[in-house]
Amino acid sequence: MIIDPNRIEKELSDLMAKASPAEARASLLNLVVFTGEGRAEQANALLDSVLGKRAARVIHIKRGNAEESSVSVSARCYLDAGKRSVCLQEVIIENGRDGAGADPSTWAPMLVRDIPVSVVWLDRVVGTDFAPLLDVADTVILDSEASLRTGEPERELFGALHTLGSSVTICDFSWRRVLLLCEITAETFDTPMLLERVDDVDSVSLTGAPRAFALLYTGWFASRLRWQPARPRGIETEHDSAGWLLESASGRPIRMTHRKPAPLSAEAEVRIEFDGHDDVRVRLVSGGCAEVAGGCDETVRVLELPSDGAILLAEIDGAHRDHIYAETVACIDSFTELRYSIG
Amino acid sequence: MRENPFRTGLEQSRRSEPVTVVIFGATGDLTRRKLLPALLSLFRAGVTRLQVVGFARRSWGTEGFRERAHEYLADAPDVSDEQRSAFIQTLTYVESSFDDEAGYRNLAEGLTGNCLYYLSTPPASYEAIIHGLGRAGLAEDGDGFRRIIVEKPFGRDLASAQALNAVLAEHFREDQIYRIDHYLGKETVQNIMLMRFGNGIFEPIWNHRYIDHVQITVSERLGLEGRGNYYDSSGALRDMVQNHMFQLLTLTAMEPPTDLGADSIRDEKVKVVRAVRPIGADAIESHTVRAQYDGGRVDGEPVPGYLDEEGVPAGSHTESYVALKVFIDSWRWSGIPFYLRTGKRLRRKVSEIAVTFREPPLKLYANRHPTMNRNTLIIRIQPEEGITLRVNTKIPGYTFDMRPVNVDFAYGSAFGAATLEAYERLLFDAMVGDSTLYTRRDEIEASWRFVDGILAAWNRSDRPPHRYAPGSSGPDAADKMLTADGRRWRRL
Repeated sequence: MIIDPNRIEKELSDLMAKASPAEARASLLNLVVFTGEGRAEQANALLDSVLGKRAARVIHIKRGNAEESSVSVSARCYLDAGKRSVCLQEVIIENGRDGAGADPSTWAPMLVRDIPVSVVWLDRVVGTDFAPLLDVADTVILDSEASLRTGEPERELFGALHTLGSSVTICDFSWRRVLLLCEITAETFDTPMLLERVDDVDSVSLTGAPRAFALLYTGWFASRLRWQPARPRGIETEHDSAGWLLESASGRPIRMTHRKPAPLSAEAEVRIEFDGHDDVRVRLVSGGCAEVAGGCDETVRVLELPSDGAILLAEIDGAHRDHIYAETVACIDSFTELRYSIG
Repeated sequence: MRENPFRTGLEQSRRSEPVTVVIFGATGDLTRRKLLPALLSLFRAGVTRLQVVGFARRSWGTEGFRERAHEYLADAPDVSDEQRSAFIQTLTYVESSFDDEAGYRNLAEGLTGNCLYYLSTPPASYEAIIHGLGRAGLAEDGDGFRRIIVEKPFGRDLASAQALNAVLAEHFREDQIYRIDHYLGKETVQNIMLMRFGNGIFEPIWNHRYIDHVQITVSERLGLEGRGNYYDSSGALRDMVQNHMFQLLTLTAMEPPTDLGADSIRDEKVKVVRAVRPIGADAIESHTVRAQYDGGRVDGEPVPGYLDEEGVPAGSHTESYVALKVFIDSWRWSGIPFYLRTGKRLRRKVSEIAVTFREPPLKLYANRHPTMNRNTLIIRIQPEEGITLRVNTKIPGYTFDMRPVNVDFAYGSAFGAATLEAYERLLFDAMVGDSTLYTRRDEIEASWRFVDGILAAWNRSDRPPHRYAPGSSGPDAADKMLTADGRRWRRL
């Protein structure tokens, strides 16, 4: 496959002139989207979310079955609320069996220079060599939940994320959703009565919610309290449920469990127990709210889990290295192999 | 007390501590149109835990207040029924007149933690409310902060502004007082400072050596829209220049602050206002133009003249248009005129700052237009927020003929339209104690001092306001003010 970047630029320029004549051109970022099998819908939803909101050049690399890679271009301009055209220039590459389409030497010359490059990785993480990407990418955006859903093993996945995170800024869609629950949890522990008892927590359980969400929440919780993985009491779990045994700095055993995984659209509940007593409960209910009961307080809070598109927009506007995510992933990486049977 | 270990690392986003917002005048239009939607939006964004208390004379009761809130917020975008209901459950209501001490005692009973008072009443009630809060002990920080937001207009002259400041100072410290000018809550107004100080290319040429003059325009197409009673007691100078236009002027002319702290920024803004040369009787004819619109047709429809508007008394001299030539006596701006104009019933609705640069020292290229070589940087606030730079380019061909071209950047073409409402931003800033976008006492008083000088000179003059046609770009006298200086207004 021979791609002439100058020809692509010319075609894009012509398309833009047609899509939005006499408009000033603005480009905020390059978005390089890698889409694997079964992830096309997610990719399209993501790109739709940027349309009309941020001006970007998109290089969309799809895994295809053709012998040879191929390329096409398009430009889409949408009017925003202020009736201004916000344009996406798209270069769509079908990566063939020759692998040329995914090769950075093919698509990197088409990046707009001097503005950030975000790589959206909607493909298999485990076993991927990200090194060639790191030369051009400022951020890698991925979705640990989708990776688990498509069958990537959790231990290897979080091991890979741990490694990748040391080289590049990662944005994980699942983590951005978990953060909202973390904030509510943190706020609950602002209550002096609960804060005093934070060292007495001996169990954190999550019912419902996807596995990555549960892992990231429990990993965050454990990393904040410096809990360490304990030796496993068992190896396997009951159907669909999982448990991890950890211990506090003083050697006190702590159980962390996830039961009945479910999509986030369904209800979910977190229970935090102190010395065997159920003291903090956060229930994610419908309509973007959470019922929070902790200490003597019971409130309804907004817990609007953002869509992938909303997360992507936030990431475009303010990518930053999230050291809490890195610590959380490192913690998960340390305890995922220590599942025990919760029967 | 030990630190909350779960808080570590979650400080990246701005969040407010839980706060109770008390709205005085909760039955009014501002509460319905702006405050409740802004508070709902903050509640939904999860940036704070809110309680809202309405305080007003009408006997609505908490249930009545909640019912009305359901009605006002029925069309709020992006909010689920559950979220709306959860927000409305935070609403309570205290029925009281503003001078009834019992009302403040009732209010005090339910208040704990942080409190933000919002004066959303006519200015005549401000004093009673401030005293009421002070006497009930509600102005003192106790188990949380106590802050007060005061809506504009903040006084109608220097004396009344000073009197209101004195009443506030009896009970509140300056750092508890937030004088709102919603103009500062607009993204594009905040962008002026970011554009100037967040880029390296503007500051070196942002001074009298390179700039010829600056024009600041805030024009409206609408007339009084039934607000004749209010407007005639105010006029364009008080209603727009003393607050909104002075904000644009100070943001354009201020020196770089040493940091982004509220006082660092406001210190620099105050220096500009203090350096504005007063316009006294000797300059009132050459440096100011006041005018009223005549009746006529706009968009094919008949419209009344200013003096025929409902609520405007016969023979009123209140200006519906004002143009000023202002000098800032500072090292940076010495000798550079700032032309300000604002008015109603003009050709189009525009808010913009146009900075016109000097001509090149040597005119190498023949001009076919007297100002062809003058580059202009236009900071557009509305509509189509953005920046336009007018530059000269060569016309293709065998000659060196040139013509100006607009290099145009619209914020919307990069980011889409801004979605954050001014009130949402300003309320949130007050909750987190950031007063950068609020006006400080000395700034308010300095701007009134300038405006009072013009008002006094106008009052001493027997010249009636000039006239202008509705839908025009303003009175001829305003054009003459610039042509006398060899310049002209940007076309509306």
